[in-house]
Amino acid sequence: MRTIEASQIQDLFAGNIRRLLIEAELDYDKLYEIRMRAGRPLFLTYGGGECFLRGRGSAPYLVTGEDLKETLEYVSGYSLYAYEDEIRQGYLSVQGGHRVGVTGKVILDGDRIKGMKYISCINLRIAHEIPGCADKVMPYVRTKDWTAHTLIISPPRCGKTTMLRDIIRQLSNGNRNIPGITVGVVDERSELAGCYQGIPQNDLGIRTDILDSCPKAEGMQMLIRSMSPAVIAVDELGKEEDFKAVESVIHCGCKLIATAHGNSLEDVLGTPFFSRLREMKVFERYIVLGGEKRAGTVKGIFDGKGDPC
Amino acid sequence: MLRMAGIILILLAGAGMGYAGSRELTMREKNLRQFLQLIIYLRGEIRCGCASLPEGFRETADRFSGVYGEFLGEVSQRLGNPAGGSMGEIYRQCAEAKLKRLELSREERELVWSLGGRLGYLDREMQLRQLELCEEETRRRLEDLRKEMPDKKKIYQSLGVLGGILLAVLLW
Repeated sequence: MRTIEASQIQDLFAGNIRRLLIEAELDYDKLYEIRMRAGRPLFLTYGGGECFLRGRGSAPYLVTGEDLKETLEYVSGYSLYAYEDEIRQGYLSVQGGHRVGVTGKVILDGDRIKGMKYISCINLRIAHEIPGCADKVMPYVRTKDWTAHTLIISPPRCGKTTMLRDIIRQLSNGNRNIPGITVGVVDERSELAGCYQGIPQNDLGIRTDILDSCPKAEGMQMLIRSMSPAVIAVDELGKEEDFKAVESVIHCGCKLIATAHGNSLEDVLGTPFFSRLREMKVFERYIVLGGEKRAGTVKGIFDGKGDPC
Repeated sequence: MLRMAGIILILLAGAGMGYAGSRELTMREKNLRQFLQLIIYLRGEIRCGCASLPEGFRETADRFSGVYGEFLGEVSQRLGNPAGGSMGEIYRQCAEAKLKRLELSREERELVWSLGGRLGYLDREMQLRQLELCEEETRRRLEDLRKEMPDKKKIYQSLGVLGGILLAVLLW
């Protein structure tokens, strides 16, 4: 498991909060989120629970507008303008592949989101890379001469991106018995590779080509045209415009590994997008994850008909 | 003999002072020209590569050697690992540390040192406009300096030599 560098996280925050984080002596491998809301306590999702940092005395530290402003300056390297596209989507990626979500007052230009002002909440989601977390499912996804079109299903924060990341890494690297294959990744939200200034911060394997911050539909087509991958991997499939791209992936002989939000197989296959894909018999494996015990727990592996494997 | 040597030294010192004044003008022109280049590179980084300020300063630093290269590298490094302070403050502190010995007039120095305070605010268009404004101002100052430079250089050199002669005559 990759060790999270404490200073990399601490340096993103305003002076007051940085001091509290240093004093708290946290184990950053157990830290999942740091959430700042104006006038509210500083929340941490830590070791499976929730806690808040306390200032001098026992009172919880209340985040100020100045803290938010200063943090935003540090996170963006004093260059919020360079992250206009990301801010429009509500987040930006920082060194280490971590993701900073922001909310505030949205500025509209007609129907289009132009930007955001009066930022009132900043949420840092710490990227965790767990090599080997897909070991259990790999035999169902890849054999010596076959790879399955696979859909990973789970509710938010149950580890589907982490699982997808490890599947990509294992497909790309291969092992003693199974050769590695070329994987093309469309990393629309810079979450899989966690690219920072073009350099992947997470290990996605030695045969992986990454299209960073690229819309999925266009990205899949681009990869097919330019990189001839054996497998294309995308996170959070489900938009209407993704449909055509999925069709071109399966018709050109590529395999597709994707994730989708949902509590169960029925839940996902009930949506118009995935029911169409089911009719077309696209996916050959469905992996359903849950977070009851801990994130990344495999609840079930199903074949293309929905029967347990 | 001793008097003769003294007179020669006075003449050489006078001429040297004149040439030093003239050289200062040449260096001012060179420094302003480099600053103009810096703005153009930075504008390119932001316009074409949509670079953030630490990135833009770092890429621009690679194109400069000497004092400007060191200065830009320092700004980039400090912006990438912020320990407090606004963009303008960090830039000015780096300028004070690295550009203090640069030959520039007071107004030119203020122009160079204030660039950081103009950046980092609002959108990309705003950064480009601010850099454009700074570029225009630098070009204007450079043109003015170039216009007056030949005459001023001649004056400095002549004054140095003539001053030396005058002092030598007075002391003879």
